[in-house]
Amino acid sequence: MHDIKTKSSDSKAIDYRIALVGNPNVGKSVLFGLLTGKYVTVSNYPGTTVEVSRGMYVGSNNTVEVVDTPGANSLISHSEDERVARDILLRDEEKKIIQIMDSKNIHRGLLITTQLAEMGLPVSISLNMWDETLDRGMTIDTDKLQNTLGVTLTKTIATQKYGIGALRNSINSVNVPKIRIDYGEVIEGGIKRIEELLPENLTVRKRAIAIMLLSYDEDLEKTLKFDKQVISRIHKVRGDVQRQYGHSLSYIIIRKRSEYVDDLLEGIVSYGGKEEKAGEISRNAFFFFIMPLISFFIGLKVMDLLMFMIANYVVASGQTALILKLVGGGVSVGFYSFYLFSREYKTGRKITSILGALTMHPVLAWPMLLVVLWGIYKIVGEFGAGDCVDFIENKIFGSSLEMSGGFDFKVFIPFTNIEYVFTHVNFQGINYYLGLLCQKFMSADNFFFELFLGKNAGIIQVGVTYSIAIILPIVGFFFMSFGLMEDSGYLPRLAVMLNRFFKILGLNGKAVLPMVLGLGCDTMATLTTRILDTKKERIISTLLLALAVPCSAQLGVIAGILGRVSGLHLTIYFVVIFSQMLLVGYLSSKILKGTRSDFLMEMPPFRRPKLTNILLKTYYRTKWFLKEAVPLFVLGTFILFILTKLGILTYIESAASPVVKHFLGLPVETTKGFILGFLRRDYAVVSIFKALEEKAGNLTIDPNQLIVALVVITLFVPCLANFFVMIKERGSKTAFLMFAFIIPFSFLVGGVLRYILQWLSI
Amino acid sequence: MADELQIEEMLEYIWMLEEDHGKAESTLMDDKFGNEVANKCLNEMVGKKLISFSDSRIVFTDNGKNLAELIIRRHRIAERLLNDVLEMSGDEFERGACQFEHFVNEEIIASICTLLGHPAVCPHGKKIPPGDCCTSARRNLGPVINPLSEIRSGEKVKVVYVTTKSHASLDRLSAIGVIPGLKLTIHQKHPSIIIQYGETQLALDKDVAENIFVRKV
Repeated sequence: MHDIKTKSSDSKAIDYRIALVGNPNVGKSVLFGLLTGKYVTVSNYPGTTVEVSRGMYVGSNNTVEVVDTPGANSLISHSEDERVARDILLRDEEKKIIQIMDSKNIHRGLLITTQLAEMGLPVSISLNMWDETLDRGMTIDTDKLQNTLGVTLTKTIATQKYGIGALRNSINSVNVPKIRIDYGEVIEGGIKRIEELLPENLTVRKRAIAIMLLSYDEDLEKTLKFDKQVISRIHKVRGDVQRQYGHSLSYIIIRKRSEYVDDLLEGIVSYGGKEEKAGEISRNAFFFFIMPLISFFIGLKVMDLLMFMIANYVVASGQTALILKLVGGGVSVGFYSFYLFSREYKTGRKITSILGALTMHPVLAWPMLLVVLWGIYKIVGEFGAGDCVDFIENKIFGSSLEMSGGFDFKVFIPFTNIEYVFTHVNFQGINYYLGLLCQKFMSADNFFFELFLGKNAGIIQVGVTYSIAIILPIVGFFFMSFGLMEDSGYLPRLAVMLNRFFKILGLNGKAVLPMVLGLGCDTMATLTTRILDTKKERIISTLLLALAVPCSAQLGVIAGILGRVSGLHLTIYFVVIFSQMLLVGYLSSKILKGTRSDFLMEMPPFRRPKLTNILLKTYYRTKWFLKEAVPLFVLGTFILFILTKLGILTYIESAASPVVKHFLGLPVETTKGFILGFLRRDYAVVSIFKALEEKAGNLTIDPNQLIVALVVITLFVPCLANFFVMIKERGSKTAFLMFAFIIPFSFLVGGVLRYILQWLSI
Repeated sequence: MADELQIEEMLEYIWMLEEDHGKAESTLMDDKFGNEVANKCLNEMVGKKLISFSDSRIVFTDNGKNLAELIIRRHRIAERLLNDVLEMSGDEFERGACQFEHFVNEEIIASICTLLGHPAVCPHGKKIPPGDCCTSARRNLGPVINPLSEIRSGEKVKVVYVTTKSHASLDRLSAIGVIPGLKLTIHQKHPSIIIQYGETQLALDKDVAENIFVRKV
């Protein structure tokens, strides 16, 4: 899983290493970036760092290495993250520790300091997020604490680069914290007895290891490779000590530490200062202008979406529709304002904390969620997948044989019809010029011309163009919206909202991260399933991602196509996919052995996201995505080309036609689309749509055929890249089992849907 | 006539054997209480129709089972009280609980059970047989200690004890600071429970919250 091997091939000898340690979501990754100049994904979501990043300390001439560890609340392993963090600290190498604390949660940070002290590791402490601490009217007497601990404390605000210089200087004066906890006669006796059993060659102080062993860190016994005899003796000591207590020893030990930290902070932390309040003007603007406006819009939009769903049945004329929408808006303003004025107006809290509470409100948060989703759809599905894709595909890349006709370079004023055309750009598309160039040497029906620039399966004309023209804009805009949700702190709030729903699926709210990310790219999402705590949860989420979560590329195309055909059918599509997700999730949670972990998640504060971080993150994620996707696209297109050339495609089509034609009731031509589904899901959607369009000729497409095809293709196997990642993460046996389940299942659902639609005569 | 206390001790022991091993062998009774005492008591218990023998196994009669259940219940409720509320540790509380079970009557146990918020497991994680007070809806005495899941939002409470099934959950809770003595506010209850303490907001399942017992402050 997590390889934490050191590269032995390092040409220069490393003097020492700096390990960044701290609770989840305190800013380790930001500091890592500042210390090494290397970017790692940073977000306002606990547990983002799943892989250990390493980089060279800036200015150290490549002799000091910095290691970023996953966040841990304790160095006794309860989770993968904590295990990784602990193992780094136990490794045999010269190291210095920078412990990063969220200074407003200093108590929890110091709990880790006590463990570092027990290990005997030299530490320098960064009191990060100092600004948020000040905002809350909290004061920390750092001089006094510094004297007590004998360790340098540096106030920092990593996102603003405040205090980083001082932190860098402090690395030269690291010390083992002066902390010595007396765990009481009984436990201390146990510690002594275990210490005597431990071998001499340990990398940290024996006392620390003994305490960890008393705390039931079973995994540590394996890591340290003790022989069986030693282990059974240790267990005996632990049993003896445990008998003296009613609670588990680990619990008693944490309580002792916690009491110690309480005493330590006595007289150091106080809440005397004035809490920073939002300025009078911006506060009033928020209550009297911004929120009413936003809530009016929310009501309006919710009404609008409702009407869109049932548009074919309730014919609301322009005027009634307008009145209904306005009423919706008015009601919404009433509700939101009532809540805000009765609960929040007088408290004087900051606007971000009010928003933080509002986005978790049992009732008021739901319409907001709906509008957020709609907004993402607008940005990703319509602007990204629609306008941007059209432009890049048709105008920038174009066709190898036909001129694209160029485009106008213009500006327009939104909501009016006024446009200013500056000039007409006479650019006929990259592919067209390539085609022209190639036709100097060969004719358009030459084998190589078809291989690279052919209309149906040319590697450049289809493969490269598709991946860059279609996928790039969609995925880019999705990652941007996702980054916004992540950094504002909306994502963990979504976890709170959806926890109950995920529980039905055998998961918990934590699964919101992979699932929402899956709407962007299932491949990437499958990688992040490792943040989930149990194996069962990881398997279920991998299966659901592969089965029922359409990626943004696919979703954009589907919503675009279906939305144009009928709102009702778009709704049916979502209902079907959603119900299958529920069904399969529920059943697999019952069938699979193993446990579901409890939902326990810290809510980071709602923050104003930093644009630069979001853009940077989008850039790195998109870059990663392209690196993965483009080769697969090219490979896929190449396979398709061979299949067409050898006539295998027609063979498969005729073999699959009974199912496609008789069971699903679709034209045989769509079979090609399903085969394409193996390569790219969105690609398949377009291909099926084109096949249906050609079949329909001048008539309009039968929406029932379309929806059956789209449901099948959504549930159908994930793309090749996703499948490879499934094998990598879950092992080939599990991956192939899922594969074998998904294919027949998707056709079954499609067929059943066809007959239900017929029966209901929709 | 055998001692009343001795019989109660034996009923308790038979119950625990059945709980742990599914059956109670009479030879085990000899090991624990000594041959002579065991024989005498067992005979008397058979006479009182509390138990019967089938082969070498001891089987409860309905009467015996009810009585044993009451004793176990008293013992384990007492453990909860001594361990969590009075914070006695180790042997001290075990000895206390052993004495306790013999002299309190049902009414007192019901009151303690209610005070403690009708706990379902003892500090060792064994099941406490529910009494009438746990099953009936009538609650004459408002509990002082409640599971977190039953507290209304907006209330300030103090954690008294935590009883989760697994070490892992308990440790995770304590590592983020949820330990006895912690003062917290219930921020909201739906769609998930959110508690606030210090500068931390923590979201948790109802399942977890049911295991955190708190007292209003």
